[in-house]
Amino acid sequence: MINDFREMTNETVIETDICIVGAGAAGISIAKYLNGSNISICLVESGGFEFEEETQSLYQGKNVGLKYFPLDTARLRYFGGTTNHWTGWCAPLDKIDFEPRDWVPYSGWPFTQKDLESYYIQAQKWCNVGPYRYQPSDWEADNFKLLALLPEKISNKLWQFSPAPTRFGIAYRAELEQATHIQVLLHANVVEVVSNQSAQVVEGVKITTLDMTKTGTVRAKVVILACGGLENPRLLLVSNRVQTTGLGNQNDNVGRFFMEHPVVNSGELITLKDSRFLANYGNITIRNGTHLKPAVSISEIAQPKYQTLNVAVMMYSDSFKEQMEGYLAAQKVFRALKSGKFADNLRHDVIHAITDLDNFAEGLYYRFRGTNKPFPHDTSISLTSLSEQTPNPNSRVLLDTEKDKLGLPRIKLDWQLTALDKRSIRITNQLIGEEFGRMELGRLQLAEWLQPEDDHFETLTGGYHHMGTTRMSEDPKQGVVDKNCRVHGLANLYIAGSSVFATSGNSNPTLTIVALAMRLAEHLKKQVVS
Amino acid sequence: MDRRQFSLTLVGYSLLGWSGLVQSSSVPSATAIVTSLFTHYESAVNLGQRYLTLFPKEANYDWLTRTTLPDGYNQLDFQILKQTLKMQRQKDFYEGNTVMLDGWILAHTEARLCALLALT
Repeated sequence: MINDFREMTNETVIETDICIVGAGAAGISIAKYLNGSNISICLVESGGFEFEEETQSLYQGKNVGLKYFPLDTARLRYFGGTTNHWTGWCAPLDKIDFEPRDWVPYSGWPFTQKDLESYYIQAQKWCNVGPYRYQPSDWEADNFKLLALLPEKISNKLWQFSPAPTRFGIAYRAELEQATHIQVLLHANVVEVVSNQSAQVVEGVKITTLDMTKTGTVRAKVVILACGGLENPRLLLVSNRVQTTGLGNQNDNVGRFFMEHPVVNSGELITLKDSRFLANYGNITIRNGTHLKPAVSISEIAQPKYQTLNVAVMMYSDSFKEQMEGYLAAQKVFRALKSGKFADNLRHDVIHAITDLDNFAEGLYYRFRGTNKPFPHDTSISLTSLSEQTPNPNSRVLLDTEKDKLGLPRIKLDWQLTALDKRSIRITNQLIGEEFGRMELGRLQLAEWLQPEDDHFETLTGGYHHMGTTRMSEDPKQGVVDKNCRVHGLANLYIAGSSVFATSGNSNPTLTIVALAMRLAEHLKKQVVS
Repeated sequence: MDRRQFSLTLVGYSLLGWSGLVQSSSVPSATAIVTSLFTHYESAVNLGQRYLTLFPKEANYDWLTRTTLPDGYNQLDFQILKQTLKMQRQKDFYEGNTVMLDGWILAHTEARLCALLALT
């Protein structure tokens, strides 16, 4: 059943077993998973079926830390949530991402990758990607071969790509509409999570229409916040009527540990031989209907050895580089002059020297002829690093003094990175350079900004991934939710979505969001029924 | 040996062929051998100079020769010498024995060969 709250009577009270706030990937997955279980569900959504500018404007906020996307463009506030602009990249978190690592502060999940595997397998189908096969060896029989890299340093990593990414709001609307125990409530904005006087039990949520002409309450045995990594902490923080620091914020962890996937230009690879061996890395390859995109990443053996985060590097051919050559050359000279250095021509020097060492006899021939050896077949490949971010309490979501149309404080995002984040990217790329050199495939140049050993970032962007702000930890002093996604100190308030990620890995989060939502639904099925 | 002499030596190598040189009475010097590895002399020198800026203590011709070239280098067949240097480079990369020149990740061996050239 789908209702529009604007068409309901004022001061409506809805009674339900489970109230889910937010109809994005997590919220819809939980409702879908519990469909047919006889548990009554109210799925509360701020928007309607289409994008509405006024509702979207509730997402406006400030960036007060590192440069970041405008907050109202980094997510979507209508039925289907941010899956409405999801690009379709899927990969599970790696095994090491779940493990405590003594060189990564606050690392470790309360369960393992294996514990999540059965949910990942189901999530693959809901996300419209192929079978749960992410080991490169899984695809060798399908004639999909990657470089034989030294496992002590670098490994291959696979993503699956959905060419028609599941728009959860479109794909699963009919199913939710027909579900007898599920009520989807559109245009209902949650303005407060209501708790009892001891802030140990939540009673439900207060809702309002955008024009605030109608208000109501959803009373529930269980409340799940599933509004994304920026909005989940915001709702907890603004729900401060009883617990004045915000619900679940007794240890001042709500909103802290904000993580993105830093995406940076990390260097250039010149291949001195036929570069067809890299074709599988630069393109999406289809095998048995599954779209595959590989990258290279620092191996699980190397991470403890070099004390790094989990960093993956994508390779892209510089197809437009020639067109840009004049511009880039001018830019390089300008930069060099500005920094007091001469223009760097080492690129050609490196190409010359290395190919000479490989082909001296041929070189002598051309020298004798008094002509230059033809320029080698070199291909320039741009390296883009996609990195795990250090869990960092100083990287956080805060409430601003400015308020939105509903009277709720807007968000201030203070995104911070550390020296470990940069060092991890640098070392990963250095190891890739060593591997390509060892295999006589080419040479790698680190991006200029990446060379100094400091914490300064350039060309930094993110993946529109908001993680960690209600992080999972069995220790209430280090997290907001427990291993079952229940908010510490509250008997019946749960969180779904990437805000519960304890660490971020380098995999796109959607598949893990859906898997975790299923796991939470399975837990609640037992809890609510019992 | 100045650059003109290098060039003459190289022309000689080219005309006679490497094996002919090795079999001749004159034993080629490290400089001559390293020079003949590179057709783009200026590029190698440029890299070598950058390397020596980073590692000024290595600006020692004899030390670089001993460190970079295999024992009996001037008696080896050139293909074998080249293969030996290639293996040394691969070993460098395997062991992480690399150097960063303007961000380029290079094997110490290849950078030192360039440095040898830059010293002459």
